[in-house]
Amino acid sequence: MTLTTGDLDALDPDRHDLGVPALLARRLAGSYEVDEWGFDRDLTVVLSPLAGLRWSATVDGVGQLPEHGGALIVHNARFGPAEPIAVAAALARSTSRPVRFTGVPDRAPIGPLLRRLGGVPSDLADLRSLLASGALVTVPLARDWRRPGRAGRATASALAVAVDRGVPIVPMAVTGFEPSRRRHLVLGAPIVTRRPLAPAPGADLGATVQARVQALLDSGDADALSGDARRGR
Amino acid sequence: MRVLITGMGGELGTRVANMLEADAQVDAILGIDLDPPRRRLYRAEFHRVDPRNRERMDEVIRGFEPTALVHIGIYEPYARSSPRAAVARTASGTIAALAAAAEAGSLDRIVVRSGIEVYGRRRGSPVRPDEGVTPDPSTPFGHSLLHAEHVAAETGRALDTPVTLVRFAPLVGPHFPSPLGRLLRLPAVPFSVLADPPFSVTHQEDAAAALVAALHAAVDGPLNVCGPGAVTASQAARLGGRVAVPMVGPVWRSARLLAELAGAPVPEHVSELLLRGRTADGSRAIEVLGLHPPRTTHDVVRHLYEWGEIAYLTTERMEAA
Repeated sequence: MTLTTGDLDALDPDRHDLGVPALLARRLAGSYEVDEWGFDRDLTVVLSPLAGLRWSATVDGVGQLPEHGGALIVHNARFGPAEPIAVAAALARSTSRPVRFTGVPDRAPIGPLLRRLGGVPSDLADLRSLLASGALVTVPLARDWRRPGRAGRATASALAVAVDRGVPIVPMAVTGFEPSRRRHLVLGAPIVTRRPLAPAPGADLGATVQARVQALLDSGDADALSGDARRGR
Repeated sequence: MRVLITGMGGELGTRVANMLEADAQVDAILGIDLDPPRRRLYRAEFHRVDPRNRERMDEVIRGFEPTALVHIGIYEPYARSSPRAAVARTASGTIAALAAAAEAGSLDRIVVRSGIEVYGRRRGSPVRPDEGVTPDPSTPFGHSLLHAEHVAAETGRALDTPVTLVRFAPLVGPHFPSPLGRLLRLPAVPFSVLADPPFSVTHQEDAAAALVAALHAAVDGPLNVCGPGAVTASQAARLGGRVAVPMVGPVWRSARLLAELAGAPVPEHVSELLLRGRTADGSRAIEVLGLHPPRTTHDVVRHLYEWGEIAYLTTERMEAA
């Protein structure tokens, strides 16, 4: 085997050195990347250890997510304003891909700050554009205040965008909630939206996704880990 | 193809004329504008006409009998005109050019230079709109562009002719008169410390190539053309070795005043870009027009700062020249 020695950046222009000196040099020179939604990858790399200190998350079923291309990850909503960030950070660490979360307010300074971390406003045009660009996007189900342990309804318009773009819809159960430190994420089998495997026209996709998330929540793994989360293990 | 180019005196109009002169499918080119072309043209005929002079516009255009119209006569506030004159020239020129070209009777395609300012950046509007988003401009320049789009679309409907609305991200370049480019080249660049939102830009060469491709494709509807990626104002300042000056709240007004005194007045749409950002999804144009991927926003901004210093000739060298 022959090892090539040389400038890795020259060999692979897409390579990003994530070492502290390179991060600092990019910040000072202005050569870091911010995408059209405001996502700043270098900043998330710097803040990732802080997220690790605040939340301890385990993720099961990462293989259900596509290695390339977009996917809409639909999960049950838990209590806590930081929940979307915790979920996205855990998935990003497991997949080594940026994970975007919706529902960011379009108001400074909180909106632009969350967009730096991967958030986007809940606009269908932005969701369409994100999925078309091959991003992993998390969308929460509605919160059912009367039955906190149950999965709520799915947003039909968001699912319609995924079907229109032909990206898989991946159900995910999330256990653990603020202010507890532990989270457990379980990803289920994706719902294929590309023809000919796409759901039949007129099928209640929202109910299917809701049932899949509920099944994951009801599964033994999720229950056991939910118990762990409650015990604060 | 007999091509009429409005706004031929601008950097973009002249470049499009250059490209069409080298195109074997183009039989004749006529240009009109307030200012003369910025480079030497060989085949194209140019008439210096104020776009507000409807009679003269009508006379020149009818005599030419164009089969294609490339409407680049869109005046950006503080680029080559004051904000008030820009609106008047854009509106009058659009109505006059389209009416005269339609009345000439042989028009079979229309291409309009528009901008992603038509989407607006109101609170709650999409961050990165695609062509499916309904325009909702929030600045005078955005309204001006949308008016031009409406006039062109109406004309196209009446003639049953395809109208391609090419919506560019802000055009900047070292020789391109643009209020955003001038602001970014100041020694100190203001940015919103609370937001510093991302924006995309387009290179003038990519814009010209997109207009020529749109002329040949004759696609009906809007197409966004943007440099992939984005930068923030503070980032652009650092890329150009400028000082990024954080601004907040009422200090913005002072910053705009100082920028104007420094020769870089900030119109509403540029102020909105700095406070709310401006990007769009440009993937459809690449697919439909078969364009090469445009230069990235980072590359366009770097190119903006590569404007060489003026080299003053010494007496000896002048003699040698």
